[in-house]
Amino acid sequence: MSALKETRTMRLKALCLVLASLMLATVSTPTPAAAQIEVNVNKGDVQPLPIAIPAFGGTRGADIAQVITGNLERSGLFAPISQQAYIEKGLNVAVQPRFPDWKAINAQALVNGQVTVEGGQLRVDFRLWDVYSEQQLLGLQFTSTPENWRRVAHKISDAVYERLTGEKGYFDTRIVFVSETGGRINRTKTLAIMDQDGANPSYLTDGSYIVMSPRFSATSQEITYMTLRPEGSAIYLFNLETARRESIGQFPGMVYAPRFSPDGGRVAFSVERGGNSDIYVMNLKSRTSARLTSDPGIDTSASFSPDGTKIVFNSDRGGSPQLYIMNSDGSGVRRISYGSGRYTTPVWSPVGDFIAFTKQAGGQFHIGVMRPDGSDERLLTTSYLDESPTWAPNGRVLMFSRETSGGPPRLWTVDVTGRILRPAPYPGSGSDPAWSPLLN
Amino acid sequence: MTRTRSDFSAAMMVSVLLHGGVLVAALVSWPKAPTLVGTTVPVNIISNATYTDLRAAAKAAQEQMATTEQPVPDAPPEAAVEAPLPDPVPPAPVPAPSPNKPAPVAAKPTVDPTAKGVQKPADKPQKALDLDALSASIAKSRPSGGKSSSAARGPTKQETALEARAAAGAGKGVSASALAGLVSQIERRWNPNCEVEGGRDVRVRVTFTLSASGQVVGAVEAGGQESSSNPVVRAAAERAIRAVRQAAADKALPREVYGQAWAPTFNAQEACQ
Repeated sequence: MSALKETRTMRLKALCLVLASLMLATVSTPTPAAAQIEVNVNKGDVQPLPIAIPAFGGTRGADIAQVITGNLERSGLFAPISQQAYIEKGLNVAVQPRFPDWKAINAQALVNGQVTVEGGQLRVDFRLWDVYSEQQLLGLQFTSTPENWRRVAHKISDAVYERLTGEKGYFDTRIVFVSETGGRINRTKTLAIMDQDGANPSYLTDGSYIVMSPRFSATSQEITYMTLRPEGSAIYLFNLETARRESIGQFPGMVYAPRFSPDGGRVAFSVERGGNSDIYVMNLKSRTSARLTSDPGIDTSASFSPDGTKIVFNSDRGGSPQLYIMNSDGSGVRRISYGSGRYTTPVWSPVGDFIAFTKQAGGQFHIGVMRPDGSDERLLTTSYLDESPTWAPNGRVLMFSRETSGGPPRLWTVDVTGRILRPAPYPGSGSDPAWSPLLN
Repeated sequence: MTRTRSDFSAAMMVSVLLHGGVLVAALVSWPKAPTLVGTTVPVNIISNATYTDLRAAAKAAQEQMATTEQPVPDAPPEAAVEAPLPDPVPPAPVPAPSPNKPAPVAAKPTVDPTAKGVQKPADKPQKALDLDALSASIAKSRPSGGKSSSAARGPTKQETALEARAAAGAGKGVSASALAGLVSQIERRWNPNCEVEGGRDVRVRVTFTLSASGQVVGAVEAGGQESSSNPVVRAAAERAIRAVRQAAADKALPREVYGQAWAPTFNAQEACQ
């Protein structure tokens, strides 16, 4: 009996030991990671991102939403959803949206906000939501004066654009251009400026003389441009903040095609004398000039690289106008364009990856881009007359002037891929646009 | 005996009522209170009146001719740059819309008993699916004409095809057509960021798990790319995650893809061509 009891006790102990071991093993042994099935996704549905931008609450709330909507839509990367499709109305910026309502209309992102005017200050709170992840991607508050509401809308557009694409925006910017009125014979060319969305157009000259090739400084609200009067041409600097306007000096011959260096301290320009054009550069502090080219051909349209060490220009020294690059002291000239046709008005991208140009070939004009070494040339547009490209500060969008046969020139935009081509939102006739850097 | 029956009926009725009550409580979606969102991060625009008001500039009719010897005064200091934008405050967690219901007993993924290693979970990620090979294998396995047999039960021809099994990851028991169905749904929802610089070069590997009932279990992650310091990579990862979430919510997904852990790799270079 005792032996039987002992055996039972031993069995019980053994069973307990086994159970304990099993429990321990269960706890301590890591669960093997779930095996993942790998698949490749090599196709997509490339289209503008559907985004909902309901009217912000408060004074000017609807206007601000409308400006943001226009900016994002014009970029070609976003497809704002009609407000009439919205299910959730009256969003509160302090309350999370009802995401199923936004998923139902296929909104991928949602921007909502609230405008408050207090003590003479405009305050705009806004939020950017990822509808499918149900997460807030951005939450910012801008304050300014009430009359600055459009700039606040542009700032919000830039923030949304950057967060959803990964690239800097370009909406809080201005365009300086030549406004053209009148017939082909007696056309008036006036220096004008507007917001990039065509709002707030202003004239900076009175139209009594011809204005050409305005260019923005990359570092300040200063422009340079060329004037043409019966007595000759001149290059001016014009500070938009102080309204100070000055000539950079007198030169023997015709001066034209000015452009700032990236640091704003120098201006490159061309001087034509006796049928020969060469490129000069002036230090704006010392007012000393240096001649960079001395070839018998026509050298013009100098444009600095973003780091200021190189200059791209066009020259007919090889027969037809082609693009060349040289060091900023004039040394090391080398040709980069070798295609058929005539290459003119090169402009180095602010981010440095491309050089935009005008190309004339086969009776048509094109706006194109190529890498600084001349590779990867792509023609983005084709028309009767496309010319004078200028880069948005993010280096992804170009504005240029397009003229149809017999029609006045208009401003157009195209993205660097050439897929997003559309008229600029300026109803008048304009040419020679120059895009400002992002405003501060 | 009669009394026992009566007691039993009463107990049954109480039981039925209680269970019914629990079921109704589980099905009713209580209106949830709006979720308050955290405070925003203030950013001041320091605007300069003369900076934005161009009337002064437009009225400046007098032009000043500078002499070449006089140095130009330095440009006035730039307006203060807005403070760098800190990360937004994350929103409060969203409460679940309804109590978790017990997951229905899911039909297990179809398993081909003839395949080797069916029962062993793979320790390493399976070889990536080659859709071309997959399509070819589907085409091969598809009968050239006529109606398919209505008597067919169990594993499909595609699944048993050797090429398809190798492509799908042997042992997972997911047919080639189901795999293709999932990939197709993701592709329909993926909107790669082709137009921005660098957007075409991004490869994003997303991991997610679908429950047996077709819900995404846990997080949909992109291996940290969703929080990359490179904004283009981050945006690309977010787009890939968005595509997965959208596709996962599609009730038209083949049921075989449920109850599995997935790792789609989004190849923008291919998609943007």
